[in-house]
Amino acid sequence: MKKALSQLARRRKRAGQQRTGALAKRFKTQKNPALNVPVQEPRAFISYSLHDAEMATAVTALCTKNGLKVWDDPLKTRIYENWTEKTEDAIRGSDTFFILVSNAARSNNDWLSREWSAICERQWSDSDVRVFPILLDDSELPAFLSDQEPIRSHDTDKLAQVIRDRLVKGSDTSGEIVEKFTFASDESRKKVELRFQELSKVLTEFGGSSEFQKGKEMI
Amino acid sequence: MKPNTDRERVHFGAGELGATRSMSVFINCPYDDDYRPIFDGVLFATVCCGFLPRSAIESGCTSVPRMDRITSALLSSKYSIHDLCRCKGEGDANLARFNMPLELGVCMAQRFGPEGKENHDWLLLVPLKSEYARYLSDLAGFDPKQNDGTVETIVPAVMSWLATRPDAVRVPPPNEVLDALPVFQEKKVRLEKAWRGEVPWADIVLLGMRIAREKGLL
Repeated sequence: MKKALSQLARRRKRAGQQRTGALAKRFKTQKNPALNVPVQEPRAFISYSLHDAEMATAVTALCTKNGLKVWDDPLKTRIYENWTEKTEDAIRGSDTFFILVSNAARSNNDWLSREWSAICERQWSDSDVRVFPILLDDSELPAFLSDQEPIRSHDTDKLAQVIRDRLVKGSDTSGEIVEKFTFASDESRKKVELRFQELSKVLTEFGGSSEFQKGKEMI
Repeated sequence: MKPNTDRERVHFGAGELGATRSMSVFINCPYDDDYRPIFDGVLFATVCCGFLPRSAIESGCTSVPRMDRITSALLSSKYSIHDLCRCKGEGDANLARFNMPLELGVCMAQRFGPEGKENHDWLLLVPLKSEYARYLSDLAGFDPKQNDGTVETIVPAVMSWLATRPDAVRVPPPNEVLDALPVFQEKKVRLEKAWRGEVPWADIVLLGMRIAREKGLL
């Protein structure tokens, strides 16, 4: 009896893992249209050269301190993750970009220029997206940022103000943007609910399966 | 001795077409009719970004072998755009086009010269979800820009790349370029008709420049 029970438990566990695993994979690969809608709350992405990592950490800390969420640093990508995909996802999911401009950043860095190119496209695709250059040294602003007033790296007051302004913009309760946010929020909620319903259905089906019944009878 | 005429022709390397190497972009894209709208979009976007589009046919020197002309135009361009959309067999013989990967190879080689990777930079366009990693597996890791084969996706991709090059100047928003594109296309068709399909490359580029100026894009 004990042997039969343990076999049944193993089978249940294995079957459950396979089912829920397949389900989770399907959800993961499904495109969520809500993701194409502007992010619900402002989220920042910091673009910087490795030489300026210290400054990037300081900007991240300032954002966090003021309540602005910052995307995980793509440089911390784990070995099994795709760096480009992770960066692109982060750029798609952000609406506030801080670009650290320095001589190091401007020295034709392939990876950084890809990031800048993706940020450009993100900015063109959504009028609510804002890009803020932070000038770290005497370097010139890149052409795509040349119509912007740069924030000097020592001017933390101005940077903090910009961060706070973005948060106010995100919590704005009027106009079209908010409608889109509401829609996104409802859609996301419905999708999550649907996922849980499906998952619950699968688990219930499994619980009521003939295999399970047979096991109960054996007991 | 020059003939006595008041007509002038602008040649590459002079006047409006006197761009330096750092502002030259070699366009390595198909020339067929199906691709024409996209080709026009890439060319016009390049002009609107303040760069000079270059091509193998720009010199018109029929006495020089084609590969020599291509190499000459490529080596005098710091940037290049390559669309590898013709990756499948075509026609009765089911043959694929190999010219574009060949020219991409010449561009890539420039980065290994004495001046290093800053000597040349290139943009690779591939169809969305294409299997480029299988048919050109050596390009794995270069992350080409994927597109759905429409000007609406290709023009922003080209412009965002050009706008972020070290030699870039300020660029207009892509939607303004896309708005002006039909005007360029319409006038280019008229120009091609007038030249019976043999319109000089310089005239096409000059037309793009003129329209970009008229629309306040340049």
